[in-house]
Amino acid sequence: MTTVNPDDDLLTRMRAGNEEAFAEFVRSHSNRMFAVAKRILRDDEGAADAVQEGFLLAFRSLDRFGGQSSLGTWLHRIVVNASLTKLRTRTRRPEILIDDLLPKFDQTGHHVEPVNRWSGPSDEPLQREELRVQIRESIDRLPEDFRVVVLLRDIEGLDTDQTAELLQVSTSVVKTRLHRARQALRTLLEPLFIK
Amino acid sequence: MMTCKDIADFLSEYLDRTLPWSQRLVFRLHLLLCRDCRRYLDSYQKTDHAICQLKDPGTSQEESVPEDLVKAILAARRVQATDSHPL
Repeated sequence: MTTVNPDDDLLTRMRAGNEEAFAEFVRSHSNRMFAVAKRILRDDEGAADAVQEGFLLAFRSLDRFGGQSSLGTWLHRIVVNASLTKLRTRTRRPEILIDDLLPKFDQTGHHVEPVNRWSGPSDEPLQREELRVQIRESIDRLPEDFRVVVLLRDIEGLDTDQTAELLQVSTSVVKTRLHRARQALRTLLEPLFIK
Repeated sequence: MMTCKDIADFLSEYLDRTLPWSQRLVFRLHLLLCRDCRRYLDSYQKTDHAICQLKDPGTSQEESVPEDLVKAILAARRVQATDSHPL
């Protein structure tokens, strides 16, 4: 027995210009795509523009969709790219320096101050939600180059190669930025975890 | 001999298991002897874990798209289709 991929049917109908199929596609993916664009652009208006541009580009490219991934994954990549393009055109906000958030060492390479012991995350739902809010705010405080890498790699689930391609940098730059971003987030989150 | 700074610099390679075995051995030896670096490693992993709690599940409903946007996308698609296939 052959299994029918629901994407195949939708794709066939969209390629045939079926209006209902386009509506189905937009309604089933727009919430997630809006959330993705808003995480990158941080405002509703910019996110709405990026989502619209992403969908329209996807519609124009339907004939080139090769089925190597699901339609949702393919659209996700397009919307992330549209959001990043929009982000690049924006004037940068004042940023904290990443070096100020990295660990400090003396001339012999030892930690300048003793490192605090961290507790585990709370099991209490309210505290867990509060922690999620604080983590989101801390990610937003990172310098843009580092914030975007954390979003793409750790939140959107792209791999290093995909992130490098979208950001037009090398994979080693992605790895370095991700490591520094995690170190900086460690510094920002420390007050929530120390015993 | 690795310093605490080296440990912090190569932490992600250590966790990704991409360090050569000889460096990995020296790394582990340093961790065995240095409480600050053990704590730093632990807090780095907890940070990573905390960030991943926000991972997009793929069906996120946290943002509800305005109906106007859905209509605008569909209307723009119709214009796009007309433009590419003029009567």
